[in-house]
Amino acid sequence: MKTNRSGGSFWFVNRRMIRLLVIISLGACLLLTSGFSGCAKRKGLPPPEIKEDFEPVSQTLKVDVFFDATLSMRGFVSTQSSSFYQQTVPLLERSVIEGWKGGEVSFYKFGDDIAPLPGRAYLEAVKPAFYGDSKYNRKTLIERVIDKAQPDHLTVIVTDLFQSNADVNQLSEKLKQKFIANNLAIGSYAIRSQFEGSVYDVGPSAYSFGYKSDKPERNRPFYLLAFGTHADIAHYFDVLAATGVNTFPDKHELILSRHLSSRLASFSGAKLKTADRVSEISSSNLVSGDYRGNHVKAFKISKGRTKAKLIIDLRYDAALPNVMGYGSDLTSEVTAWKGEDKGGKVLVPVENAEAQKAFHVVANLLPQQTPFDKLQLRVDIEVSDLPGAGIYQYRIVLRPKPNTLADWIPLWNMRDDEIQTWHRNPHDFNGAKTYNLENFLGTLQGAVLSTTPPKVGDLHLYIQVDK
Amino acid sequence: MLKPIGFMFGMIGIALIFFFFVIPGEDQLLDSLVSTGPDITLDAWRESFRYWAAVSAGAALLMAMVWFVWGQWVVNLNYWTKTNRTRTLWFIFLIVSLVGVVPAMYFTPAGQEWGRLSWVFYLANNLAVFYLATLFLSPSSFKYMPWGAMAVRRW
Repeated sequence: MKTNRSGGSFWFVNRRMIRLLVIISLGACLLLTSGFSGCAKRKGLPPPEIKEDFEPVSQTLKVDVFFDATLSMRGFVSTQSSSFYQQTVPLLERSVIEGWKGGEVSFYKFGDDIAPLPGRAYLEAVKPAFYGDSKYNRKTLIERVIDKAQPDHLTVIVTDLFQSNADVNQLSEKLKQKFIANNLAIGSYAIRSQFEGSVYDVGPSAYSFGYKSDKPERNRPFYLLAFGTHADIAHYFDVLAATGVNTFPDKHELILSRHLSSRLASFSGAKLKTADRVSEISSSNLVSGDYRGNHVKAFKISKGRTKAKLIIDLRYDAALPNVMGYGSDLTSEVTAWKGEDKGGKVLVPVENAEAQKAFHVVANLLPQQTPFDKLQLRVDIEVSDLPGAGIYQYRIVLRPKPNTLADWIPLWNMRDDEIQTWHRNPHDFNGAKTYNLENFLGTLQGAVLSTTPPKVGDLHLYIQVDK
Repeated sequence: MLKPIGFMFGMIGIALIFFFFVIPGEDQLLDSLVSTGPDITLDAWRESFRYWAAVSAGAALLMAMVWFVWGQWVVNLNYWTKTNRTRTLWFIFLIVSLVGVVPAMYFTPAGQEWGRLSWVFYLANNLAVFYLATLFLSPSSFKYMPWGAMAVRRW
């Protein structure tokens, strides 16, 4: 009986313990349930506004072509056989007709002044008499053409581009104000053509030289300077090339504008290569509304992390041809905001210097040499330096560091010291070069970089930080 | 006849508590702990966790139902007298239900930090569903077979 009683007592205690265990485990389940199931959706930050402002080729276009009618140009049409210059003249109109449905071309000649060339009169530009009009053939006043040019037209100037230093500065300033500041582009199609005649106003002392291009490599350059949207200029040059200019042996295109790629690098097709102590999350978690763009990636940094690191490879597949050269290193401009709850449906982004300091970006294009096909973004975040938990938005604008001018420009440039030498030995004169070319194009490139610096990426990272 | 069917619905009810409350709770906890690394988004990883957690809990429910059908309708009533054998069988059902956890462990991406906590939840959910379902709702003839049932089973 005694044994039974004590056994019963043990069983009673054991039953109580088991009941307690069961209740505790049920309670734990309920705790999990009540503790975590009711998490409401967080408020997000507003989506970014990204402007993809690369305009496509115009549907219809008005083109104004201005022929330099000064005496220096006469040598291009005084050769025994048809020169490349002469072959180019009719292509100027044909390219507009073939390039744009309903494209309209107006022709003018300029020098000291500007005069319209009605009907087919422009075809006279292939004859020496065209350059014999003393009212127009003394000074190449390109700046007057710039004054007359209409920004919504494509303006093309056919010239040998012989400009003094003062001319270059005045011209560059006008181009900057009229075209570059209005997000328009400046194109230069440089073509070397046969030449036989005189070249005037060479250098600061305005020397004159007789010149004959007796060999193809001594052909003299003329230029098609084009002003308009980047896409229209590029299309015009493409059609010109396709209609015959591509058969000319020595030619170079250059388009100076804020655009180096036809679209900004985005996260479309991007690959997250490294995510150290950070998780990618769907952007809908942190961006309010229905954002459908490709310029946002969202991440989450959980509690207890002091540093986080990301490496993302983006596609770089929209680089434009014939633009100013640039290297693989990119500069990044970072702006940081922290979301603040001010009672509205979405968080209010407030610029935050601490958040910006804690965020470090290194970006570069890959491979090291052109053609680039990838953009790599390396981000280091000092999580412990961030001002508290919350949702942060980082805007990263990526800009290339432009190189020096294209290789052909210094080679085609006529230097002052060369002119002095040629003045002493006129037979050595090399008319295959253009006075002040490097200065002119360099000044324009500088104007583009300072007025509308090109960017290749505009990316936004939204980061939820739990602390 | 109604009582056994009620018991089976009760088992489903226990599993539903896990599907609708416990697993989402675990999901939230993992959301606050896990870093996934570069190969998968946290959202996709959590979706994978929720799916496989439901599968492993579902496997436990299935085994609990099989245990119930076996005890209610397959074996004869005197089988309960062979207590040791029956408890071993209950234990085997428990182990078999754990097999449901294996694909969940295999197919859930690793994650960079705290990802393996999902394995603990798969195991815990699976064991808990089977254990609670059989603890409270085993067939009358075998109601004391699960460990601890003597203490809680009053019906």
